[in-house]
Amino acid sequence: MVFNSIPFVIFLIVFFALWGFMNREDTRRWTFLVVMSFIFYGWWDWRFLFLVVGSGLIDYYAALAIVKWPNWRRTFFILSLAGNLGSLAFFKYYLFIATSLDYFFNWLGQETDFAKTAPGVTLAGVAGISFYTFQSMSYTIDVYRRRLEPTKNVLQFFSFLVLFPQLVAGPIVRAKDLLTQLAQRRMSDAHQKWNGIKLFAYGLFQKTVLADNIGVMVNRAYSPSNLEEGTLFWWLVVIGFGFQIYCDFSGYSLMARGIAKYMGYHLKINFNHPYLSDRFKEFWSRWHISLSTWFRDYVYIPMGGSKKGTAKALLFMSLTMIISGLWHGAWYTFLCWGALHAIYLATERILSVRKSPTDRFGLSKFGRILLVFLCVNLAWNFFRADTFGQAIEIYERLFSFRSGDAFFLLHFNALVFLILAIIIEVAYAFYLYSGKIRMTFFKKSYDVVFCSVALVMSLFFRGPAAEFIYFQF
Amino acid sequence: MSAGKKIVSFICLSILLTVCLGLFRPQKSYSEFSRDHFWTLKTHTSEKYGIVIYGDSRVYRGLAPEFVSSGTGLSCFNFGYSSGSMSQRMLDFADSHLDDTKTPVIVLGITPYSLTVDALKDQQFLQELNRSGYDKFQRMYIDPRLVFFDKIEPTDLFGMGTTLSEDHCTDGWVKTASPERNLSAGLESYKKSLSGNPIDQKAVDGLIRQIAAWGKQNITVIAYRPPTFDGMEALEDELTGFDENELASEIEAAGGFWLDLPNSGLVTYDGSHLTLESTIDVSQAINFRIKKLINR
Repeated sequence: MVFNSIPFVIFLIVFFALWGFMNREDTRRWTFLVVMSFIFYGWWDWRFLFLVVGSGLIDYYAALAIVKWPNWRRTFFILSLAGNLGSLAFFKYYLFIATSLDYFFNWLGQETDFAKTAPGVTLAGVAGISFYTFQSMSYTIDVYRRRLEPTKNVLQFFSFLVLFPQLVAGPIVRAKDLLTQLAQRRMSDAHQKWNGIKLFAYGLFQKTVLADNIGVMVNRAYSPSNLEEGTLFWWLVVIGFGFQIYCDFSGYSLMARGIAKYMGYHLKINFNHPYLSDRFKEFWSRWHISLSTWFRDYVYIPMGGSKKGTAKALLFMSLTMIISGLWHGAWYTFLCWGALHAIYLATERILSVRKSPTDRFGLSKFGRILLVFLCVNLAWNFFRADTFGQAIEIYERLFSFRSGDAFFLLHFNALVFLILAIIIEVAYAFYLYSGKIRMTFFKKSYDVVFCSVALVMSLFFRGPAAEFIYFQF
Repeated sequence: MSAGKKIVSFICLSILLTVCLGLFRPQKSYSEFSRDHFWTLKTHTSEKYGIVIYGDSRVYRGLAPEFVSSGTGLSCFNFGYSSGSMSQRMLDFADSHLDDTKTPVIVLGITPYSLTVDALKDQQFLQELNRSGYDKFQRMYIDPRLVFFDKIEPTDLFGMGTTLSEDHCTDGWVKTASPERNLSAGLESYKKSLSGNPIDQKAVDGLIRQIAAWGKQNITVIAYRPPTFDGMEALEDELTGFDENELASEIEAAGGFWLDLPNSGLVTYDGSHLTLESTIDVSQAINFRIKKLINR
């Protein structure tokens, strides 16, 4: 079930009505969390539960076996990785692999049609499979690296793996952070509850008001029947998608953190106003932080990180970005998106031995932020386009400087929300850089007003209900 | 302010703002929740009627059941859908809603588009039919209670929204009123939707067979071409090759009754759909014909 739905409101009321009682004792707490999380996840399709249980059991027993039989630890670790990556490969990448094989064999002159044999289950997509698989893998990897003691209680393990606020779209939580929190009875005080409410209300606003309304224009623009060619229109669409995906995913993360905080748990920040970054490296330290750090710790550093010289560091970074692209979606457009970011980061790194390249061009901080923002948004086009051809066509329109049809009235609603999203980010920048504004804000309790307005706007100014974009990943 | 006080203030302020916004919201052309409830109810109702009206948007907007059934002593429902076709699926659907009255009547509004290949996909009907169990439940029982929370759009706030007003009635009719007249709006969209979208002869044959079968069951079939404006009719005939006279003869030969309704004196607001006044005129014309036929 999705957060912005009536079933979830009922689910949440039932959950918190029972939480105080269920939280008192460890086994009772873990059982309750697992059962409620299974209801939450099974609401999409109860058959998905077999996959998450299977994937979880592999890692739970592999971690125990790694500790119990040290001589076989490597074997158990590889088995666990094979199980997780195999399940990802089958359920998420089957069609991509099959299509790629078809391309390859056709290129060799052999007629094949593997893609047509794809089982139905691989076409429908499993909600959140990449999130919980990565979370489960990090548990086994940490146990294998002797950084974590495995839990001996399967319920505690599953309450970590399937904790409903973050199950389908993160933040990706590390076992060492959450298992310890789940081991104790944690009660939220009024301050935590208020912070939880604030996070949830603002997340709901970001998702239902900003992302869903802007999405109307973006979805229409990217539909195959759209013939709009105007350059200004396409720039607004590309920037619109940049804000749609940001508000969609950041909104989900905020809601997840808000619910967890109300329960008494702390999930780390996942988005920190990435469009205010003035370097690409900084962008990646503010965007989907839990995934960026996952890739850093479990892919980039194990490859060798930056310790083997600049050339190898660039190669490892590029590979990491390309894998990250494929993590987001099983298609070539995602691969291109990852590769384009690798080019941005590599260029920045090469040119900035001492200085940022943007500094070298004499740009002000605002200029640097704008440059990074535009480059990141250009890359989003690969992320959103259905095909490689569509992406290229849109890039042509972006730089063709054609006037196009009048679109202002047709997309008036979406444009109003796009402007609102931009104003909110700019206002946050002022808030961030002005101590005076910050102090006034804290003293006057404006947060109560902002929070109420965000909630009420989510009720009345919501866009057409759409699933969170990141569920598919 | 302490966190506890903030939570209480937040709840109070949110309730206050919700009530104010709900009560003093700008007028909207239609209720989103009522619309969703309307289509789900129309698709999943098991109610049966003495007069069943079926057709596409020109029918669900352009025939008012209360006027069609007036004085007949029969219950009536408008089962029209957007792009509703004359497919066997839809004719069976209409048939399934006829009750066991002695004089059952089916009114078919046949547009050229309703016989085309694209229309035969019955997209809106199938979308409604295939909704998940929970979706149906929410639209049937929860949505009608949420009208207070109908969404507001910036165009409503700035007075830029459509002037078209829609009332989704419980008898399947979408009562539509528009102060504006823009005949070319409909022409443009029909040019697009009819190009390369020919009439399916199999659908025409199936329709004639079904009318003959209904005739054998003593079901009165009244068919008509929903009136629009002359320019639209000419465009439809040209792009689809639709021959109204030929179809009328085939329907009459199969035992149905063809009602010739000229466009003159009737007004459309968008080049396709009739204004409220014209809708009532057409509904009364059909009512007159029904009364004549069932009192033979």
